Amino acid sequence: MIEVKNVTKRFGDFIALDDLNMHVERGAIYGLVGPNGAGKSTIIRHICGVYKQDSGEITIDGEKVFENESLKGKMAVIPDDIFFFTQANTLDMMKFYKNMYPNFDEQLFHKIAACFPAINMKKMIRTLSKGMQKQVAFMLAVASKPELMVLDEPVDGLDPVMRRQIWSLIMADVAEHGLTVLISSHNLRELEDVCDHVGIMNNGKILIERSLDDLQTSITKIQVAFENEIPKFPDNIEVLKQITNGRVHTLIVKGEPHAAETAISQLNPLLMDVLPLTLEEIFIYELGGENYAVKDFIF
Amino acid sequence: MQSKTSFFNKALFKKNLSRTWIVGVVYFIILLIILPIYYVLNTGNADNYIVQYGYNKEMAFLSQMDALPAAEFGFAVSIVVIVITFWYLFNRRDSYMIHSFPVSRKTLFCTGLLSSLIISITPVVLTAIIMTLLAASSGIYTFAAIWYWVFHTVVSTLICTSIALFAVMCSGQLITAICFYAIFNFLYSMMETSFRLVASRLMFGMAYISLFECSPLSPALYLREKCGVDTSIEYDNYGNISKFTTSYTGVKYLVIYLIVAAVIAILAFLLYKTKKNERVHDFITVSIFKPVFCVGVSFFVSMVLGTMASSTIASFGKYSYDTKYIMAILFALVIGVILFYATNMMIEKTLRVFDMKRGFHCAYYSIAALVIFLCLRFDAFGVESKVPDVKDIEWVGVQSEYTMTFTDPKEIAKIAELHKILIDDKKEIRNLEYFRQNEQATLLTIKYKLKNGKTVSRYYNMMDIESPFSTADYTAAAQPFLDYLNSPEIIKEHILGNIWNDCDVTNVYFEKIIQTENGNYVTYPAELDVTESERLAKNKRVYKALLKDIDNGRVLNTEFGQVAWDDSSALANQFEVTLENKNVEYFSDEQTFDEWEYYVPLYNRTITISLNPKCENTIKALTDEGYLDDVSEIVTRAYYYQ
Repeated sequence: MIEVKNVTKRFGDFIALDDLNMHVERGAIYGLVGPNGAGKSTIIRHICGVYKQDSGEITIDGEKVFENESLKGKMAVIPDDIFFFTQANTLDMMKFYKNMYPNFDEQLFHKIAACFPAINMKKMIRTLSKGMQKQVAFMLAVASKPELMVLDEPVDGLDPVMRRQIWSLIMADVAEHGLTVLISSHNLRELEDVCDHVGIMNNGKILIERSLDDLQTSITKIQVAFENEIPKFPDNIEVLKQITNGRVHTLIVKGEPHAAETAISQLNPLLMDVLPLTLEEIFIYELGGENYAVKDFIF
Repeated sequence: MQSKTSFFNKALFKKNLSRTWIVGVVYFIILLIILPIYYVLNTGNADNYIVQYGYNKEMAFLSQMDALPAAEFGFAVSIVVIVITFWYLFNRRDSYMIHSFPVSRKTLFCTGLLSSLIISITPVVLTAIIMTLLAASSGIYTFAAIWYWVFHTVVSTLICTSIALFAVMCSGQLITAICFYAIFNFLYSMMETSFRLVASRLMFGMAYISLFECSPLSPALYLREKCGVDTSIEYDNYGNISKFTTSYTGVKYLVIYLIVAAVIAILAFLLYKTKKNERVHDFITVSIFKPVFCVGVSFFVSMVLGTMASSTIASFGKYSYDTKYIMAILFALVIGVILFYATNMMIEKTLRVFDMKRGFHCAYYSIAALVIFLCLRFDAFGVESKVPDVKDIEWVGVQSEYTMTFTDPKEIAKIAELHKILIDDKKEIRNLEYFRQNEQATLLTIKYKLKNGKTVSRYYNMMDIESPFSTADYTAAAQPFLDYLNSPEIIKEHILGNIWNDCDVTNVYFEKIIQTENGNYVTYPAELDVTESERLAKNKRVYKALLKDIDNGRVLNTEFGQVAWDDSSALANQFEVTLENKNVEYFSDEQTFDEWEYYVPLYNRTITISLNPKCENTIKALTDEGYLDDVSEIVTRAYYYQ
C-alpha cells in the first residue's frame, strides 16, 4: 500500500532521511521503531503529505501523496502533538471531520463515544486532559473510516485500560475492514503485541524491515553451559553478543533458531535453552551494531 | 495519477468564518458609527448653520463622504483577518495537522481568501446599503458617492489582502508577518525616503528636499492620497458658498490596483505552493528573500544611520564637504557590516553566522554599498547637476529674500542657464555652504514646476558677495544670478507684480517713529486728512518715487546676505503699498511658487517694502505728500532695536 522509494530530506545541512526505502502492505500493522532523531516522525509527515521530499517518491496505492486530496481523505492521522481548534468541543470537531472526510460515519462515532464515557462531548477539548484529548482523536480517526491510519506515539499518555480500549478498536477495524496501520512508537513491548511488520530506523534509513515473525526468527537467544571453557563456535554462527555468568553463557546469535540450536548442540553443552527474543532486545542488539549500544557510565 | 482538487472546502470555510466573524462585526459597528450614525447626528443638529452659509444636506453628506477613510480600513482589516484565517502557518502543530487533512494547499488558500474577503467586504457593502436608504429617505440621490467609496474601500481591501497573504507566506512567525505586511506596503516609500534623507544631508542643492513622496508602489498610501470622493467649495466675498463640486478621483488607479491585487494574490499562492512546512517559526520561509532582506536592511539602514552619524559629528565642528562624506561612508560601511551579521543571526536563529561564505557575501555587499556611495558622491546619476529641459518647464520659481515666479519661456531659459552656472561652480559654493552656513547666508531656492505635474526643487546656501568670506570664484558664480534678479524690470514685474505699470495705488501705509523723552520709540501710522481722490493722487506720486528708486537699484534688491533686513541699513518704519487693477487679475508669484491649494483670484495686492536710507526718492515723496513730517521720524533698525 505505502511505497517509499529512495526518499531524501534535508533540513539545512542535516540529512533527516537518507535515501530511505520502505514498504507497507495493505492490511498490515506496521511498527516503525528507532532511536530518537532517527527520522520516524519525518517519514510519517511525508507519508501524511505534510512534508515534501527533496528527492525520491512516496506513493500510496500507486498515487503520489503530496497535495492529493482524495488520497488523504482515505487516511487518518494522529500525530504525537494533537491539534484541535481552540474553541471547539468534541461535537464541533466531529462536525468538522464529517465535512472533511468523505467516509465519516457519525453513527459509528457515537458508538465509539460510548466506549469513552468519561469524555464530555460539549466541553471544550482544550480543557480536557492530554489522555482524554488523545481519546477524542482516536474517536474521530476511527469514525473517519480510513483505509490507512498513521499514528505517531499513539497511546502515549493513556492509562492501561484506555490503551487496551484503543488497541482493541484498531484491531477490530483491521480485522473487519482491512485497515492498514502505520505506527511509530518507542513502546516496543506494546508494538510487539499489535504489529505484524516492523521497520527499524536509524540515521534516516530503514535498517531492517520484516514481518515480526521473520524478525524474531532472525535473531536467537540461547542460554548454554559447558563443562569447561566455552568452545569455539562454528563459522556459520554469528554471535552478536555474549554474556557470561559463571559457567552459563547467554548468546545472541544471528540466524534462524533451529539452525543455531543444531549447530551449538554439536558442541555438547551441559544444558542448552533457546529463548524467545523480545522486540526490545532485537532493537537493542540490531542498533548495537549501528553504534547505538548502551554505553557504560563511569562516575 | 494525481487526483483532482477543488478550490473550496465547506468545512474549512465555516471554520474560518467561525474564527473571524467577530472582526467583521466590530468592523461593521465602526462603519455604522462613522457613516449612517454620524450622518444623522451631523445633519440633524446642523440645520441652522447649514442654512446660514448656503450648505444643504447633500453638501454635508458629500463632505462626509469626502472625509471618510477607505484605504485605512482596507489596510487595517485585511491583515487582521488574514492572520486569523491563516493562523496555522505560524504554529508547527497546527500546520502539520491542517496539511494532513484531505485538503490541498489550493483549497486551503482559495477557501481562506474567500472567507477573508467576505468578512472584510460584507460590512462595507451592508453599511453602504443602509447609507443609501438613509440618504434616499433624506431626499439625497447622489448615491454614486457612497458606492464609489465602496469601490475604493473594496479595492483597498483587495490589494491589502493580497499583500497580507504574500507577507504571511514569506514568514513563519506571526509578528514578523505583520511587520513584513507593513514593510511591503510602504517599502518603496521607505527606500525613497532613505535616499532622500541621505541626499538632503550629503548632496549639493538637496538640503531641504521633501523627504516623502507618495508613490504608486506604496499602495496603502497612494490609495489614500490619490483616490476617493473629492469635494471642493468656493465662497463668495460674504463667506457664503458660491460653488460646490464633487469629483471621483483615481478610478484609473483603482482599476490598476485591482489587477495588481490579483497578480500579488497569485504570487502569494505560488509561494504557498512551494512553502515548506518545516519552515514554520522561521523568520523568512522563502530562501531567496533571505539575502534580499539581509542586504536590503543593511544597506538602507546603514546608509541613513551613517549619514546621520556623520551629520551629527559635523554639527559639532567645521568639516569640509569631503570630510563629512568620508565619515558618512565609513560609518555606513561599519554599521552595514554589523547589520548584515545581525540580520543573518535573526534569520538563522543562531549567533554562529561568522563563516567564510557569509564573509564573502558581506565583502561583496560592502563593496557594492561603497560603489553606490561613491556614485552619489560623484553624482553618477546626475541628480545634483539636473536642470530640467526648458521645454518641459511650466514655470520656475526663485526664492531668496523675495519670491519670484517666471512663466515666460525666455525668463525660464535664463533662470535655467543661471542655475547651470551655479552648478558648474558647485565645488566653491558647496564648501562655503558647510563652512559659512550661519554667517550672513540666505537660502536660495530654485523650483521648477514641470508640465507633467512634477516638481524639481534645489536649495543652495548663498552668501553676500560683500562678505569677507566670499571668494572670487564664489562671486563669479553668484554675481550673474544677482544681476538678473536685481534688474529693475524683474523687480517690478515679479515683486510689485504684473499690474505694476497699470494700476491704482489704493493705499499707502507708512509708520512714523518718534523717540520719546525717555528714549523709547513710539510708532503710529501716518494719516492724511484729504479727500479720496487727493489721497489716490498722493499715493500715485509716492509709488512713482518708489519706481524711480527701483530703477536706481536702491530698494527691493536681492543680496544673498539678508542685507534687506540688515539692522544697519533697513528702516524700522513699516511701508506698504496696495496696487489694484479691477480688470486684470493679479498674478501672485508667492501663491504660484507655494502651489497654494486654495487659489483665490486676486485683483489687488499689498506689498510690504523694506525701505532704507538710500531710497531718497521715496522718502522725499513720503515727506512731500504728508506721510512723513520730518526725516527724524525715520529710524534704521540698528537704532530702533538698540
